[in-house]
Amino acid sequence: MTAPGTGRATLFACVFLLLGACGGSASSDGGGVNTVVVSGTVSYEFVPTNAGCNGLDFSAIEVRPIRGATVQLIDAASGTEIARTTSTATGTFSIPDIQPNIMVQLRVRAELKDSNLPGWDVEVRDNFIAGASDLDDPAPPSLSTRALYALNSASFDTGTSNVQHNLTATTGWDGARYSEPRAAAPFALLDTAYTSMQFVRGFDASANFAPLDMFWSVNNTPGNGLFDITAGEIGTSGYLQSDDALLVLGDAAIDTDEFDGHVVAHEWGHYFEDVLARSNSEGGPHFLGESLDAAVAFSEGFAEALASMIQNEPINCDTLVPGTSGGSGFTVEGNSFGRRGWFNEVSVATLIWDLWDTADDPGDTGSLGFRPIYDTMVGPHAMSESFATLFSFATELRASLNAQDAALLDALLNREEVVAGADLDIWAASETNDAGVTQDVFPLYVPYTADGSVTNVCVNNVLDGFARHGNNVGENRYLRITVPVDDEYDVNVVTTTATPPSADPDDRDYSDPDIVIYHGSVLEEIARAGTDVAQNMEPTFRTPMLLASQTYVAFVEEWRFQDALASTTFPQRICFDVSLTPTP
Amino acid sequence: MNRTTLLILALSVLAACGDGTDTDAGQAADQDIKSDGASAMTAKPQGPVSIEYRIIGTPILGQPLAIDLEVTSTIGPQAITLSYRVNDSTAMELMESQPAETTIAASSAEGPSLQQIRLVPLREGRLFLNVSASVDIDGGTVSTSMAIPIEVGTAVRQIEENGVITTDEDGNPIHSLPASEN
Repeated sequence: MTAPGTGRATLFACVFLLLGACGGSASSDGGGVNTVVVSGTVSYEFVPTNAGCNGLDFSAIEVRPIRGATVQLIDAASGTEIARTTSTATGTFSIPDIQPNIMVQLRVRAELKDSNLPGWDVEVRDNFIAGASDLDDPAPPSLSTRALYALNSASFDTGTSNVQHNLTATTGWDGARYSEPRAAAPFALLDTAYTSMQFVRGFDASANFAPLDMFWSVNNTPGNGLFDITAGEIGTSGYLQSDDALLVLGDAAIDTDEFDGHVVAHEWGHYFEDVLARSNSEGGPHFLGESLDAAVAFSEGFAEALASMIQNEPINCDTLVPGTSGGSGFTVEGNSFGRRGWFNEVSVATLIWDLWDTADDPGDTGSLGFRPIYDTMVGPHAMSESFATLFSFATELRASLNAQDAALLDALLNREEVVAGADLDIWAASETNDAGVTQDVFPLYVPYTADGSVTNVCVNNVLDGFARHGNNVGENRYLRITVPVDDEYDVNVVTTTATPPSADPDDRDYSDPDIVIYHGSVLEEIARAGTDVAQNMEPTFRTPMLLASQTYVAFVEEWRFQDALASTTFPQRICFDVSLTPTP
Repeated sequence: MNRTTLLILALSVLAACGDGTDTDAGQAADQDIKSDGASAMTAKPQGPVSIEYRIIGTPILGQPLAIDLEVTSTIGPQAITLSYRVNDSTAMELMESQPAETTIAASSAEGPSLQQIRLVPLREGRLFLNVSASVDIDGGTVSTSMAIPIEVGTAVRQIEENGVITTDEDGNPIHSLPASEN
């Protein structure tokens, strides 16, 4: 008679051999408890664009791995997690030591998690809640708790041998329209984030990425001029700086962006600026070649150049309605739109792209690679005393270059009609290209000593149109503030231009100036006064302690220039008396 | 930053880019929100032709509707081809006298060109007119495209379904999408 354990061991050995013969190798711990391995590959369908950016090409769908995502094994009966792992760079996963003969389910979460330092934390969530609005009272759930996208398998039995399950997130396209769930979309977004972070890690293995939420929904639509994230009315795809979040269009009747990798990478570029470098952009709509506020132009141009580097593709395709040829594109290689200059995002984008790429074209006969660009962005440019503009970037970059590379930078600046060489500085003191806006542009930083004196600055919106974007050249003024003594300061901004009431008078007939004061070199916002629209209060407030040894900058604007409902007779030019007075 | 602040800021930024100037009182109230540059929302790049629009009056089912367009090319004095398209022919139609495509001749004058489109809404709801403005450049054509939303009557917006909302093992919401398996 054999001992009980011996017989069981023999049985397990036989099972093991049989399974080995089948290719599946269940394991035994020697104590008689068998386990199996659940493994497989997770992937998603990616839809490339047609030639010329004329819509998406569903005949050329590529199956790509879901990289770095969390893969969970779920107990099908209880819904509890049995185990989790992370998919590899090829989309494979393997979950060992799983109990045989139980019903389970695989779930791939649309998230990238690495809690190490350096790490990352990306989640793709659904911002849309049917029937709800941002304006609801009580408020809808916070954005960070909205539903996370996940790809789920059907339930299956772990059986008695190792089991392989391959999951694919499909587009839901039936040849004519989306008729099935659009499972691929969240994973396409996730993969663009993965690619983008890997690009940066290729130059800085220690790059640590702050949490990023990517919000997408089939109901994310341009909307009707309102902005309501919960209702999916997001205006367009963009980056919401206050929440470190991307918002991405998904309305198949109007415009989808989940497969427009360049568009998503561009917005990820804004995230990069925000969390690893610096942006002082006020955002807003922008058209290629427009003459924009210096901080807006640099932010958009940098994001475009970075997206092109990440994608290793200078052409930015933006498709519209799936199944149609709607879409357009542009390239940062060789094209030029609008007046060249520091105010043109295309000038910025082509300049930075040409610093990076190895193809020669006019003015571009070399390459710096990404490293100096990256080091400048996360280093001195981020800590510049001035706002983050092409001037701060180029000045700080130039200071780090050898003579040959500095000459390349100068040639590109010259090509883009931006001051170069020894005349280049973060304050644009020698810049003369005014974008054709003959007043209220220079000096780009109005010098001001905070001794209680009054300086009169003006803004104008001659470049803006119906929409009142408020982000063109001339619509904002920057101040460079010298502080005579360590003190708190009383800030006053008083409109000096008359604003006559319109035929249908209301509060919007009146000026509404705003001012924001920054301590640039430590990336600190000191104070702001964006007063309520309806009351038309002009900013009057006291700063915290300002130090005489430091330089401060301020951003002054007329908010009516971005108020789409302002009176159409509102003056095109507004002036303010600005003063900072030491407190008694 | 609390959520209310966030939404106000976000609203303000997009209110600022709301090209339509529908004079609906509710919309005006919602747009009575303040800007905040530090909490900006960026927007994806548009093509080299700026298109801004203004809907004239309140859209009414079956009644002709005019939309003013302000079109500005950043490329300089070049012809701009404007095309208008309605994806859903049951939603609205261009008026007979309204061509689906028109060309704005090259002009040396800077500043926008003004165009007016006339159409007729055929049903209630949020309808869209697609406008595309194209210019020729070396090596091809580049375009700016936009969908102009037109709210007709009180019909609610049609909501699309995509998967189901469940909860995960921790009770957090999950938007569950089915996998294709092999």
